[in-house]
Amino acid sequence: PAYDADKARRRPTWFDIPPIGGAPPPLTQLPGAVQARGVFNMPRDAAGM
Amino acid sequence: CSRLHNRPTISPTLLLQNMYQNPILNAPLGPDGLPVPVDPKKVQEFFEDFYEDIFLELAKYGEVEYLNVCDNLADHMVGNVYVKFRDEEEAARALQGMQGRYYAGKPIVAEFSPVTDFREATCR
Repeated sequence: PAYDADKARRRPTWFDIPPIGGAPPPLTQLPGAVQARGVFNMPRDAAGM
Repeated sequence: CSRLHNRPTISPTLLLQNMYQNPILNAPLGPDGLPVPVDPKKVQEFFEDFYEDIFLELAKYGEVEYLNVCDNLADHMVGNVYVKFRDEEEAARALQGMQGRYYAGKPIVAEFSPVTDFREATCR
Protein backbone atom coordinates (compact mmCIF):
# COMPACT_ATOMS: atom_id res chain seq x y z
CA PRO A 1 0.00 0.00 0.00
CA ALA A 2 1.02 3.61 -0.58
CA TYR A 3 2.67 5.53 2.24
CA ASP A 4 0.09 7.51 4.22
CA ALA A 5 1.83 10.29 6.10
CA ASP A 6 -1.12 11.11 8.36
CA LYS A 7 -1.55 7.52 9.43
CA ALA A 8 2.15 6.98 9.85
CA ARG A 9 2.67 9.84 12.29
CA ARG A 10 2.82 8.44 15.80
CA ARG A 11 3.09 11.68 17.75
CA PRO A 12 2.53 15.43 17.34
CA THR A 13 5.23 17.33 15.51
CA TRP A 14 8.08 18.89 17.48
CA PHE A 15 8.29 21.79 15.08
CA ASP A 16 7.57 25.22 16.56
CA ILE A 17 7.95 24.08 20.17
CA PRO A 18 9.82 27.02 21.76
CA PRO A 19 12.44 26.64 24.50
CA ILE A 20 11.27 26.19 28.08
CA GLY A 21 10.44 29.65 29.38
CA GLY A 22 9.44 30.87 25.96
CA ALA A 23 11.29 32.14 22.94
CA PRO A 24 13.82 34.93 23.58
CA PRO A 25 12.92 38.39 22.26
CA PRO A 26 14.63 39.62 19.09
CA LEU A 27 18.13 40.95 19.75
CA THR A 28 17.05 44.51 18.99
CA GLN A 29 14.58 44.39 21.90
CA LEU A 30 17.07 43.32 24.57
CA PRO A 31 18.00 45.95 27.18
CA GLY A 32 20.93 48.03 26.00
CA ALA A 33 20.61 46.89 22.41
CA VAL A 34 21.88 49.43 19.88
CA GLN A 35 19.20 50.48 17.48
CA ALA A 36 20.94 50.22 14.12
CA ARG A 37 18.82 52.91 12.50
CA GLY A 38 19.85 55.51 15.10
CA VAL A 39 23.53 54.72 14.72
CA PHE A 40 23.61 54.80 10.95
CA ASN A 41 21.61 58.03 10.74
CA MET A 42 23.83 59.76 13.29
CA PRO A 43 25.96 62.71 12.10
CA ARG A 44 29.58 61.68 11.50
CA ASP A 45 30.91 63.76 14.41
CA ALA A 46 28.38 62.37 16.86
CA ALA A 47 29.19 58.82 15.86
CA GLY A 48 32.86 59.46 16.67
CA MET A 49 34.11 59.15 13.09
CA CYS B 1 30.78 21.92 10.45
CA SER B 2 32.95 24.50 12.18
CA ARG B 3 35.61 24.37 9.46
CA LEU B 4 35.81 27.09 6.83
CA HIS B 5 33.67 25.78 4.01
CA ASN B 6 32.27 27.49 0.96
CA ARG B 7 28.84 28.81 1.72
CA PRO B 8 26.98 29.16 -1.55
CA THR B 9 24.47 31.95 -1.98
CA ILE B 10 22.05 29.49 -3.56
CA SER B 11 21.94 25.70 -3.73
CA PRO B 12 19.36 22.91 -3.96
CA THR B 13 20.74 21.59 -0.64
CA LEU B 14 20.13 22.97 2.81
CA LEU B 15 22.10 22.27 5.96
CA LEU B 16 20.18 22.34 9.22
CA GLN B 17 22.88 22.54 11.86
CA ASN B 18 22.94 20.23 14.89
CA MET B 19 19.25 19.55 14.62
CA TYR B 20 19.14 15.86 15.56
CA GLN B 21 19.73 15.16 19.23
CA ASN B 22 20.67 11.52 19.70
CA PRO B 23 19.02 10.36 22.94
CA ILE B 24 22.29 8.68 23.95
CA LEU B 25 23.86 12.15 24.25
CA ASN B 26 21.06 13.29 26.56
CA ALA B 27 20.94 10.17 28.71
CA PRO B 28 20.68 10.97 32.43
CA LEU B 29 23.55 10.07 34.71
CA GLY B 30 23.18 7.05 36.98
CA PRO B 31 24.33 6.78 40.62
CA ASP B 32 27.79 5.76 39.38
CA GLY B 33 28.08 9.04 37.47
CA LEU B 34 27.94 7.30 34.11
CA PRO B 35 25.15 7.81 31.56
CA VAL B 36 22.29 5.36 31.94
CA PRO B 37 22.26 2.98 28.93
CA VAL B 38 19.50 3.75 26.44
CA ASP B 39 17.50 0.92 24.87
CA PRO B 40 18.72 0.63 21.24
CA LYS B 41 15.13 0.01 20.12
CA LYS B 42 14.06 3.34 21.68
CA VAL B 43 16.99 5.08 19.98
CA GLN B 44 15.90 3.69 16.62
CA GLU B 45 12.27 4.71 17.20
CA PHE B 46 13.41 8.19 18.22
CA PHE B 47 15.44 8.49 15.02
CA GLU B 48 12.57 7.31 12.86
CA ASP B 49 10.17 9.76 14.51
CA PHE B 50 12.64 12.57 13.88
CA TYR B 51 13.18 11.55 10.28
CA GLU B 52 9.47 11.38 9.60
CA ASP B 53 8.85 14.70 11.34
CA ILE B 54 11.46 16.57 9.37
CA PHE B 55 10.69 14.91 6.06
CA LEU B 56 7.01 15.79 6.27
CA GLU B 57 7.79 19.41 7.18
CA LEU B 58 10.42 19.89 4.48
CA ALA B 59 8.25 18.24 1.84
CA LYS B 60 5.84 21.15 2.21
CA TYR B 61 8.39 23.34 0.41
CA GLY B 62 9.19 21.07 -2.51
CA GLU B 63 10.25 17.63 -3.65
CA VAL B 64 12.84 16.18 -1.30
CA GLU B 65 15.39 14.11 -3.22
CA TYR B 66 17.76 13.28 -0.37
CA LEU B 67 17.48 13.65 3.38
CA ASN B 68 20.59 12.76 5.34
CA VAL B 69 20.73 12.91 9.12
CA CYS B 70 24.11 12.69 10.83
CA ASP B 71 23.41 10.26 13.66
CA ASN B 72 26.91 10.48 15.06
CA LEU B 73 28.03 10.95 18.64
CA ALA B 74 31.29 12.83 18.02
CA ASP B 75 31.27 16.63 18.02
CA HIS B 76 32.06 17.04 14.36
CA MET B 77 28.88 17.67 12.37
CA VAL B 78 26.85 16.15 15.19
CA GLY B 79 23.15 16.01 14.35
CA ASN B 80 23.52 17.87 11.05
CA VAL B 81 20.67 17.40 8.62
CA TYR B 82 21.24 17.76 4.88
CA VAL B 83 18.24 18.01 2.61
CA LYS B 84 18.47 18.20 -1.17
CA PHE B 85 15.48 19.50 -3.04
CA ARG B 86 14.74 19.02 -6.71
CA ASP B 87 15.77 22.59 -7.46
CA GLU B 88 17.19 25.71 -5.88
CA GLU B 89 13.91 27.59 -5.70
CA GLU B 90 12.40 24.92 -3.48
CA ALA B 91 15.45 25.01 -1.22
CA ALA B 92 15.22 28.81 -1.02
CA ARG B 93 11.56 28.54 -0.01
CA ALA B 94 12.45 25.99 2.66
CA LEU B 95 15.28 28.17 3.97
CA GLN B 96 12.92 31.12 4.28
CA GLY B 97 10.27 28.91 5.86
CA MET B 98 12.65 27.60 8.50
CA GLN B 99 13.96 30.99 9.62
CA GLY B 100 13.12 31.92 13.18
CA ARG B 101 11.48 28.58 13.97
CA TYR B 102 12.15 26.02 16.67
CA TYR B 103 12.35 22.26 16.77
CA ALA B 104 11.88 20.56 20.14
CA GLY B 105 12.81 23.75 21.94
CA LYS B 106 15.92 24.49 19.89
CA PRO B 107 16.25 27.24 17.28
CA ILE B 108 16.62 25.96 13.73
CA VAL B 109 19.83 27.14 12.08
CA ALA B 110 19.59 26.68 8.32
CA GLU B 111 21.89 27.64 5.46
CA PHE B 112 22.62 26.59 1.89
CA SER B 113 25.11 23.77 1.55
CA PRO B 114 27.44 23.08 -1.39
CA VAL B 115 26.80 19.31 -1.11
CA THR B 116 24.85 17.95 -4.05
CA ASP B 117 26.19 14.40 -4.30
CA PHE B 118 26.07 12.61 -0.96
CA ARG B 119 28.09 9.65 -2.20
CA GLU B 120 31.05 11.96 -2.75
CA ALA B 121 30.47 14.19 0.28
CA THR B 122 33.33 14.41 2.71
CA CYS B 123 34.37 17.15 5.09
CA ARG B 124 37.60 18.55 3.67
